[in-house]
Amino acid sequence: MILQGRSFLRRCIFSTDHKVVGIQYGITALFFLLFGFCLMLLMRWQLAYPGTPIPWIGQWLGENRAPGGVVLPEFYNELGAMHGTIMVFLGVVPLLVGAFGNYLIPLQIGAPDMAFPKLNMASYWTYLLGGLTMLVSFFVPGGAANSGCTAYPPLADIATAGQTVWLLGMVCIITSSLLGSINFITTIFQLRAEGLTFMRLPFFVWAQLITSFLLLLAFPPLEAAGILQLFDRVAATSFFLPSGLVVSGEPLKVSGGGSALLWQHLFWFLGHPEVYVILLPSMGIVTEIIVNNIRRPLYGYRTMVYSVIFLGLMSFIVWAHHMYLTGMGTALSAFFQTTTMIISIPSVVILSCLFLSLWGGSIRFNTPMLFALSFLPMFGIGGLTGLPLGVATVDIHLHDTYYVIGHFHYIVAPGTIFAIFAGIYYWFPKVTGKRMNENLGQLHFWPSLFLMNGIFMPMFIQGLAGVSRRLYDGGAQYAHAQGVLHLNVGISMCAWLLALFQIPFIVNLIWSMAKKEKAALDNPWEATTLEWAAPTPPPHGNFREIPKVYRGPYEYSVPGAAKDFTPQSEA
Amino acid sequence: MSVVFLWFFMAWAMICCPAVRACSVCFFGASNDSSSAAIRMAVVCLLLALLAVLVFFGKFFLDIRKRQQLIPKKM
Amino acid sequence: MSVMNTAIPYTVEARPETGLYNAKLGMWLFLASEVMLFGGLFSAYVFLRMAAAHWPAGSSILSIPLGAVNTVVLITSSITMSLASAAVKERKFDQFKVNLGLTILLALVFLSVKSFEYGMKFSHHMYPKTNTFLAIYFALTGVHVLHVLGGLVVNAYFWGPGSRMGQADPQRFANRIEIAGLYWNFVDVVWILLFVTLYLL
Repeated sequence: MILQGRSFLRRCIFSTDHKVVGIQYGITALFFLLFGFCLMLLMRWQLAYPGTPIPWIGQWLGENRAPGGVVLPEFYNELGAMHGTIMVFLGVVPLLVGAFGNYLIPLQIGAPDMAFPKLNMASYWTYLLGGLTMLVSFFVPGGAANSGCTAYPPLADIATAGQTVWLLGMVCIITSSLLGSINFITTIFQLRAEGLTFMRLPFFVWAQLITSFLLLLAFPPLEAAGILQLFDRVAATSFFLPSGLVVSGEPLKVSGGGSALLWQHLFWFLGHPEVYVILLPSMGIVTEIIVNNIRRPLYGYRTMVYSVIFLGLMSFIVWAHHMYLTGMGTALSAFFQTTTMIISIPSVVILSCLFLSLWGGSIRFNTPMLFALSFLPMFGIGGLTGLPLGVATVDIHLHDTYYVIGHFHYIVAPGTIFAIFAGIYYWFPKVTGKRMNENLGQLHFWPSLFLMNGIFMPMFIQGLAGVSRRLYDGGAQYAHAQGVLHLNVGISMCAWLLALFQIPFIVNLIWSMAKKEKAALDNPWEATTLEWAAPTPPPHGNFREIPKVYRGPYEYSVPGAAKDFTPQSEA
Repeated sequence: MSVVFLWFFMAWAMICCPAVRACSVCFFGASNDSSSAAIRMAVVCLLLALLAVLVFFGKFFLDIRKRQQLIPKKM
Repeated sequence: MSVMNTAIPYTVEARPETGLYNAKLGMWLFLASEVMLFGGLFSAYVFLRMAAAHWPAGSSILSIPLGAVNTVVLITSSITMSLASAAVKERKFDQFKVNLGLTILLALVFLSVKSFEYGMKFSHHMYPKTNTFLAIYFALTGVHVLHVLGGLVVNAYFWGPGSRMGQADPQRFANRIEIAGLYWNFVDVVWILLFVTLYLL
């Protein structure tokens, strides 16, 4: 269909078409998401039943990782570090930005392609290279990176060779996202269709625009930090190594004079905006789906746009709230505590707008809508539990406990990943011309919702009891953990069941794609934004004629109109 | 008795060794440690770089708005 | 299926609202991210310097005359780059060739001086691992040298095989030289900052 009359290689592999690149991103990232999820399933066995061999799978892991099927502490650390890295940098962000952003932005702004199609292709291939580098790192001597996904020195500076590979992989991923974000911003600024002013942009495009700015400006300091850590590891400098460091009883032979604080400073300058890189496109997807399925205009479109801009700006100046316990001093703690409290306001404004939009709508409860709706309370829980962490004094108790794990997983797992599922169910008809099965979708949604909560809710209890997140045996050595350790079994059961209930989704995806008949409609959800005005699936060049835009993005149920939706391209 | 002794010991420790007063938020209770001062300046430095870039983008946005108003409206 | 219009707008002419063509906006955005890259590195410099018990004066380790020569060289190359850009806008290709050639030569001079400086450091057993001053010196100048190399390769391409576009599509070629010039000026500005912080302060 796409790019007729060209060879398969040019059409589907080395294509510069934004839709093909988007699909490539999507498929690759889904595989990484699954892989990262599997790493977590192994970790959950070790936490639920410490020191017992993993049934069936254990024997395949190899003697240097899990002798007799029992996970070694070093391997557990690898699993933890790589789970975080793969899920965030190779799974969720490429799906939200690479896949949804690439596929939808040009369609939603009425452009024939991205502004720089070749850069777009380069961005995907660097991403893939980075991803493969990360995978290869499992097989270098000493295994993959095992200093946590935050790669804190001095541990990361003296870790095994896997850490160097990790850094190289990160450089690839950073380059890829840099190319992507330049492309996105230029596309949104330059290629908007005639009449599509900024205040007529769909909220998804706004969210992606702000996200791209975050990627553009937040990633380079991490690249700087990565370069410095590479220096530390390869050229034996001591950017992050203090003087007089003793490792395994031996004084480390380095000049000293650096500090781990410097790494945290540079790392979290990326780390915090990265949270919003994950969150904002999810909000965009959810907004599109909710407003389509309530059949009424969005409550407070302008407020949401201003909130998302403010959110983007604020997300740059909260990074040191990850560093309250590093000894950086009370003056900085006070500053960053204040900004952290402030940043919750625009998030709540957006969430409130979405909730208020529901009022008086005639809601269609289809699968994408269910996922989108469940995003709201799940993100609410994730966000509200973050507030205590933002207070320096409370953070002294909660820092690095399972409470933190529960908090940010509520945002990225039942929050963001539900938004991704919602987006896949919602835009699948546009991408393939076929619809996904509704019953399988419901079979995917309801168990996922309950099991996600079953996994992460008990973590708050464990964290409040003070259980540290980085322990190989889940904290069996500690008296204060004894009362809550039994929860680990339940959590792990929920995690494995959650894996089971992803099968309906995978079956649904493949089965729907293989279906013979096509939905004849270009606009099956009766939506208003421009992507539904394109042919299905959109050919190379996207539109039969370059569309003109006459109205705002969400004109549903306009009084006096013939139908309950008025597309943006309708005069 | 032992409780009283503990209290006295703690009071003595609080007065005599400043390290006990340290909480994990600052180095040994000394927030004027050179590392603290350094991280403050490092934060300020990065914020300045960010500010420069954001001011530039802000100006660009305003510029676009001005230009948009100059272009005759067709729709 | 009807033939789709796949041409991407504003690749050569500017969009009226933004006053920029695509590549120029792209280059500005790239430079913004570069500001943050060097911002991060400078932030590391500030941290290391302030946290250090003892910080050597730059002039006691680095050679200010060599640094000054390099500064002059790079500023001159910036000027020739601008002249090249102006020449190609007026379709004066001979002038353009001379000026861009000079820019490339000056970049080579810069790199030679820099490698001489590095060699001198190494011959005095001053490596990145010797102390944090040298570490951040090599990190900052090393990243900058990579940028100079990148610019050199691009300029050499436009001087050599890339210059054919000058005849076929002069407006597009002028755009390319313009954004290459933007990048080159940025590299120059970064060097001036580096010179001031590392050598003089």
